[in-house]
Parts: sequence; C-alpha cells; structure tokens
Amino acid sequence: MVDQMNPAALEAPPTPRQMRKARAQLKFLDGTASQSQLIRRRYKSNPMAMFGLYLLCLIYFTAIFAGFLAPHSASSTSADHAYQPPQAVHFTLEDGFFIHPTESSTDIETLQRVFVEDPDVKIPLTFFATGDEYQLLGFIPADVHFFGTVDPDQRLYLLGADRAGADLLSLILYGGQISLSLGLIGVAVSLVLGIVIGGISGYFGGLTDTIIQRVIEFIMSIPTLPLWLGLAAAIPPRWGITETYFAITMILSLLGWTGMARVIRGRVLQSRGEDYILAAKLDGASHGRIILRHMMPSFVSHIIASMSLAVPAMILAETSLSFLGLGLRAPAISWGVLLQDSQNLQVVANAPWLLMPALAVVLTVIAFNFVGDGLRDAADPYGK
Amino acid sequence: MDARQVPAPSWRRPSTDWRSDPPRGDVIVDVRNLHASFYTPDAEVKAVDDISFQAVRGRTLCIVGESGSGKSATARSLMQLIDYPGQISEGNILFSPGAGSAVQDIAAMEPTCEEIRAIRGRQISMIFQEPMSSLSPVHTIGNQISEVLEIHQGLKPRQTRERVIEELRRVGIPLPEERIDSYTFQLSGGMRQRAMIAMALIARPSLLIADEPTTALDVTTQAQILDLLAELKEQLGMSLIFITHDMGVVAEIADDVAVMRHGKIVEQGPVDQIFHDPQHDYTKQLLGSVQGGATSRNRRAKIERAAASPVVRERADPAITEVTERPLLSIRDLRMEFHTVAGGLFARRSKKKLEAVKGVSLDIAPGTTFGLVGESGCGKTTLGRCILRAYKPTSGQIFFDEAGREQVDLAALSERELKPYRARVRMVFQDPYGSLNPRMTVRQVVEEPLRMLDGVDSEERGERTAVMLERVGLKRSAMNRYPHAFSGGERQRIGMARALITDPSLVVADEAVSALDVSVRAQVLDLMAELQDQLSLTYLFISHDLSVVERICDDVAVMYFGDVVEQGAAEDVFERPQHPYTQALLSATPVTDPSARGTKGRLTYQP
Repeated sequence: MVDQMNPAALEAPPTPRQMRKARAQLKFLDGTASQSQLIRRRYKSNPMAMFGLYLLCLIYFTAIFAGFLAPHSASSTSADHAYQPPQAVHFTLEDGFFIHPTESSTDIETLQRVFVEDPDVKIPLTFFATGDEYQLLGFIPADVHFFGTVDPDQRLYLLGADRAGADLLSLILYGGQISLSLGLIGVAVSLVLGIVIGGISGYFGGLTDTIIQRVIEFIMSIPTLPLWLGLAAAIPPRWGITETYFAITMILSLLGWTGMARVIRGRVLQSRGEDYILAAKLDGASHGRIILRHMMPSFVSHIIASMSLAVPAMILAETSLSFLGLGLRAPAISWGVLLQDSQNLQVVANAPWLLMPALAVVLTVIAFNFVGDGLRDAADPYGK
Repeated sequence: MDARQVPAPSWRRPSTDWRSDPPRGDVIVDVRNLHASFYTPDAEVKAVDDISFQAVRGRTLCIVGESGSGKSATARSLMQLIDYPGQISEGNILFSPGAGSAVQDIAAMEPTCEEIRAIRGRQISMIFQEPMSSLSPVHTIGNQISEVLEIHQGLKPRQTRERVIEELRRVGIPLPEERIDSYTFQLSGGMRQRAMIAMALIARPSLLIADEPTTALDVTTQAQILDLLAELKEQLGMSLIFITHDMGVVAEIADDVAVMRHGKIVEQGPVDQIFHDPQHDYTKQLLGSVQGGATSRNRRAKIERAAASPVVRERADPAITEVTERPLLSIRDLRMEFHTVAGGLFARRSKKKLEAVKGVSLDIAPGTTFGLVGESGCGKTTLGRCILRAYKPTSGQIFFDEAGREQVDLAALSERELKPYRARVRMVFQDPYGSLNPRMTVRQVVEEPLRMLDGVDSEERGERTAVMLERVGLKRSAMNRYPHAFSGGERQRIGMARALITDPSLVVADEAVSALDVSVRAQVLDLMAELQDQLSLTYLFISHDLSVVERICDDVAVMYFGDVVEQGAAEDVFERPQHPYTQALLSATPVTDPSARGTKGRLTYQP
C-alpha cells in the first residue's frame, strides 16, 4: 500500500490556471492557435512591451478614476496656498499618516512667497477620506477619495500647488482625462479615414490611387505647426470646453490620417499580389469580402501597432497646441493647459514642480512607444 | 530571451583529438561527427545530427536530400556560414587544401576570425541557389568579382579587370568585355549564375560548394550550367560538393553521393552503387520517384482505362476523336497583351506592349490530362489564368462545353455572368505556402468557394468540407487548424480540397507539384490521378518539368515565347518531337541513370 502513495498522487489537482496554460500550450503544438494567439505569445515574451502595457493600463486607470484618486476636485482652490511646494507625508505608529500645515508669508526683501511648516500641528490623513463631491465615471455621484485629509476642509498638496492654489496632483489626474482620450479619439478618427481612403487607393490602384496619393502628398507637404495654429485660431473663443475639445480632435485627426492611409495602402498593395488573394477572387468572393475578410486580418496587427505609435504623436500635438495657448483653454484642464503655467521662466525657477505635467506626458509617450514597438515586433514572425 | 546563451559556443568546446588520426592524403574535407543546431526559444532544432563524410580531391560529392534534411546547413557549416540562431555544436571539419598541406579544423574556428576569412572565397567558395539575391543589384558584376581578387590578391586595377574578363569568358559569358560593366538585372538567370560561378572561381579555390545552383533555372539553362561546372572542375582540378534535391542532377554530375534525411546521412557511396544497388529504403524511394517506379502506376492505370473506355480507344485516330468527342475546352486564337505603364503626374501613359500569349488554339478532351510545358516566361501561366479569367484576354475565344450544359465563351463573359463558371473551372496553385491564407483555418479556406453557391448553409458547408478533406487524405480534425501546422504536401492537399469542393469539371493545376519534394510529389500526383478517376475531372497541367508531364499527361502542348510550337498526344511529342525547340528541351532533361551519362547529345534552339 505504501508504494501507491507516490508523490505525484499526493500533489494537488491542477488549478484552473494551470489547466488553461496546458491547453494553450497544446494549441501551439497542434496548430489550432490563431495568428493573434501567436502574436500574443510573442508579445508576452518581450519584457519592455509588457512593462509598457502595464504602465499604460495604470495611466488610463488613473485617468478614468481621476475623481476617486485625486485628493481634491479640479476646481477647488485656496488662495492661501498659491505656489505651495510639495508637502512631505509623515508616518508614526500612534497617529498614522499626517502632514504639517503651512503658514505662507511674503518675504519683504525678495517679494517671494515663503511657506513655513508648523511641526507642532498634525493634519491626519486617511484612506477613503470624504472630501469634494465628484461624479465617478461621469454619472455616479460620490465624495469618497482614495487618499485625503480626515477633515474635508483641510488641504493636501502632494505635488505642490499652482498659482491659484489648486492641487497639482489632482489637476494632472483630471488633465489626463482630456489629453489621453483626445489621443485615442483622434487616432480612431484618422484610422477610419486611413483605412477607407488607403484601402480604396491600394485595392483599386490606377487613376484613383494616383489622385489620392497626390492629395496625401499635398497635405503632408504643408508645414504642420502653422497649419494647426491657423485652424486652431479659427475656433471661436466663445465655444465651450466640449466644442473646443471636439474641434481640436477633428483638426488633429483630419491632418493625421495621411500617414495611416499610406501604411494601409502599402499593405493592401502588398497583399493584392498574394496567391491566396487570387484564390479568393477565383472562389468568387466580392471586392468587399476580399478586402475585409481576406486582406484585413493579415495587417490588423500592423494597424494596431502603428496606431499605438500614432497616439503619442496626437497627445504631443495637443500638448503643444495647448501650451502655445491655441488649443484648449482654461477652465478646461489638459496636460498642455497645465504646462502653460510653466511658460514663464521665473515661475519655473521658483516653482519647478509646475513641470510635473510634462513628466506625465513623457511617461505616457514612452509607454505607448514600448507597446507599439512590442506589437510591431510580435506581429512580424520573421523578426528576431 | 537570448538563445545564444543557451549552448556553449563551439569554438570553446574541446574537440576530440583528431591529430592522432589525421585525414587521408587524398581527402580534401573530412567531416567527422558534425552536429549543427538552431536554438529557438522553444527548443533546439538539430539541423545536422552527427554526420560524417569525406570529399575526395578532384571528385564531385553530391549531397542529396529533401527540404529540411539539413543539406544546406551542412554546406554552410563547411564555411562557418550558418545563419543566426544556428551554430556548429560538435564535431570536426578537417580541411586540407592541397595534398600534404596543413590540416585545419574549420569547426573549431570562430565564424568571424581571420583564419576562416582567409579560407572563404580563397580556398573554399560557394554558389547559391538564387543568383539574383546573392549578387548585389547596385554593383556591376565586374565590381563584385574584382572584390574577391582585391581581398585575396593585391593586383593592380588593370590586371584585375583583365583577370575578370578572362574569367567571364571561361564561364561562357559572350562579349565579356561589355558584360563586365553590366548590372545583375541586365543579365538573364543563366548568365547571372555564370557570373556567380566566375566570382566563386576567380581566386582558384580548391573546393567549390554549390548549393542547389540550378534549381531556380530552366531545364535548358540547367543543362548548360551542369556541363559548365563539370568542365571547369576538370580544367581547374577542383573538388566539388554539390547540394541538390534532384536525383536527375545527381545522375548527371556526381562521382560520390551522400543521401541525407532528417539531419542524418542515411546512405553514402559511389554514384553507380547508389543508383544501381541502393541499400536504404529512403534512397530507393527517392530513386523510385524519379525513375518512374511510384508514379508509373498512374500511367499504367491510365493506359488500362484508355483500353477499357471506348472514347479514348477511338483517340488512336485523331480525326475520329474530333468528330465523336466534343472537347471540354477549346481555345481559339487567344491573345493576351500587357501594357507596361509609366507614371505621369496624374494620368498613366501606357508605354510598351508585351504579348504574353500570341494566338494560341488548343482543344482539351473531357476526362483527360492536358500538359502545357515551357520554360519560365513562355506565357503558360498567363494562358492558364486567362482560362480561369483571372485575366481578361485581349482577344480570342475560350469555349467551355460541359456535357448537359450550354456552350459558353468564357473570354466574353462579364464578371457577373462568370460567377457560375467560377465553380466549374478551378485552380490548384504552385506555392503551397503563399496560396493558403495564414489567418484562416483550413475549414474557412476550403469552404470559401461554397459561399458563392446559393443555398448552402453553414452546417452543410462544414460537412462537405470534412468529406472533401477525407477524400484528399487529410483527417476531419484538420478543419480547425491553421495552415502553418501542415507540411508542404499536406498544404497542397488542402489546396486540392479547395479546388474540388465545388465539384468542378476542369482543374487548372499551375505547377501544382513543382514546389514539393520528390517523394511528396509522387503522393500528390497519385492523389490527383485517383481523384480524376473518381470525380471524372479534366486537368490542365501546367509545368516546366518534362518528366512529370510525360508521366501523367495524355496530350501535351509545348509553348515558346507565347506560341504553341508543338502539340499532340504525349507519346508522340516525347518519342518523336518534331519542333527543334521540343527537341532541345528534351535533350536538356537530366537522364536518371549515371551510366548513361554523356550518351545523349545536347541540342540548343536558336530561333
């Protein structure tokens, strides 16, 4: 009886996760794994791309739940705390997390604002603190914040304050909502334009192709910045935040589709010569079916890759426009708008934390680039 | 994951002490227990698995094997040229350039060290399969050939140029003084391969490795290159290692043969022994597939069938056949012109007219296999695609006449009217890799043509697909797998299933077996013959391979530059060719018997 008790029999039965893994492994061996499964596998083996993906998920998560994660609402300001430097969070066992309040005064000689911490008073902090009211996901009214002061009237400046005394961390989180969504929507619009125009250009060729290509070349040859500036200046100043937001998105995507259209035209031209496309034609498939069912799957991964590389360009474009004061304007908050404050060299010298929104832009752009590069490599089975 | 970190690099591996057992004096390369592997993230793939062979000075060693047998990896190992992520993991390659000269172990050298660079090009050279991609398109051939001389011998530019011209003349390039300044795209395939040979030979290597040098060439060009190599080997006293998959080429050129399979040498010996007394089953199988053993069954079956069926018996007299049997497909004066275009700013001006098919007329009788042969660029593929209406012919008629249906002229139909006939005339492609969409499962690929037929629901499509897959010798379970999980032969079966699922009457097979290994080729041909009997199919078999056409076709047409120069029953055309081009083509086909080597004169055709 003893020899029946082998170690394998004592092992726990496989967990669902292990079973899934084993089944997936089997798929790769018997050839039922689809191309997207193969791409996913290659993508996962790229640590930089996975890092980028996690970072990106984190960034979008913070933007979606900005109201919950931000200690204050975007509109709550405190004139006493204008240009308040970042506050240090302290921790003791009996009091938990706390900060010291600051007292601001103006230096008579330099006219600089000086903040003095009062080490005797402790403002207690807590998780899931009650504070400013906000709408979670845009429609659920809530007033619970992930992290904040126990007393809703006290203020917390983890990344410092801007000139109106608003919390910069909260502003960056709220600004991400506009900057990040604008990138996605803009790319989505230019993707649709690119697929339709590029697909027609590549599939039908001939005169159609020539005309479309000349138009694309014309649009591409216009210097970008002056054109943006011109178009953005044409937006009526009395338009509200939402209208301006959509106008800026449209301007960026109407000029941004050309690159996408070229990529797609190239891919269509390339796969038009494949034997399996001729086979589909001889099978009696229609033009639409050939483009959508037979050609598209082979370059969807490339489209996704070039899309994820186009999003940061879009975000950067919005940031530069807003930075120059021609995109979104306060009271709208985007990373570009926040950076307008740092246009003044003196302000930057005295309050360097105002450059923090730039860090958010850099992190997002890098994350998108890692993801895009990883996707491109994973989609190309012949790359190393 | 860096695969390079997995194995210990070979040059640091302590090799077995070969100095106590040096190679024989007449052996130029002595390969002992060579292992070479490719290290992928998933596994180590053994391309060369413990092989040993010797190449004797002044003789030709043929390494023969099918794709994936490791023959190219062996050849590349000899020069330390294996592509990343592969490398030699074990064994010795003992090379001694001349009798009594020092012996070097190439396997122990680093792929980029001084010693191996002194050997490459200088003592061992290599010619590759595809001369277009192995020669640089942006340098003249003279430039590329001189480079070898510049690296290995410090000659003056003028002397170098003279040497190159002399070498080009030696490899049979006409007007070498002018051709030395031409670019690769200005030369034909055969000329490019000659330039490649000149480049390989200019430093007078003692060993030449030729990796499938004639596979990409037409038969007539192949014959010239083989003759040239044999001649140069004699003149220059080189040794030759010749890699090929074609037993016919082996019979033409080899002194010794090594047969490889799955990275191992299964049999080696002198060419006569291999051909007349093969020991290993695999060698017998390879020989059988070229000498007709395996596939002559089809032909026998065909002859028996012919004897039994009254229709074909009457075909003994062509005049009677014409009357009693209406052809399934008759082509009348078919022309196809292409216009090369040059881009203007907005309009495209047509510049040049290229006549790919110049007034071809053919009749294909139902239930037969019609062979269309010719060399690359002769218009045979264009003709096939006109019949399929992948192209719209410029002029002429294609009458398609099925029993029990109205006769139609396919050439005149519009795209919409053509739809029902897309199911009646089907195609099998040459390339088993490019013709199956890698993003679709086998089921999706095979059932696609059923979608254009009305009233076939998803369930019925699935059922018919399964039945058809079983019919072509695949399992039902193959339906949900993707093409990348199948070998070349299996993919071609999938292609057959796709062609036959609509129950067509005519199948255009454009080089359908050319991309397959010989043993697989025989199986696919067997399958085609079997399906022809079961489904009463008519085949238009387009091929450049005369031996295949001779074995399976009833009637043959020979094309040359858009014209059909000769047509008739297969026996007549192959036994008694009338047209000088057919004669030249036949004389260039390798004889699959080494003892008959040189008994057949080569004819060339200059119109």
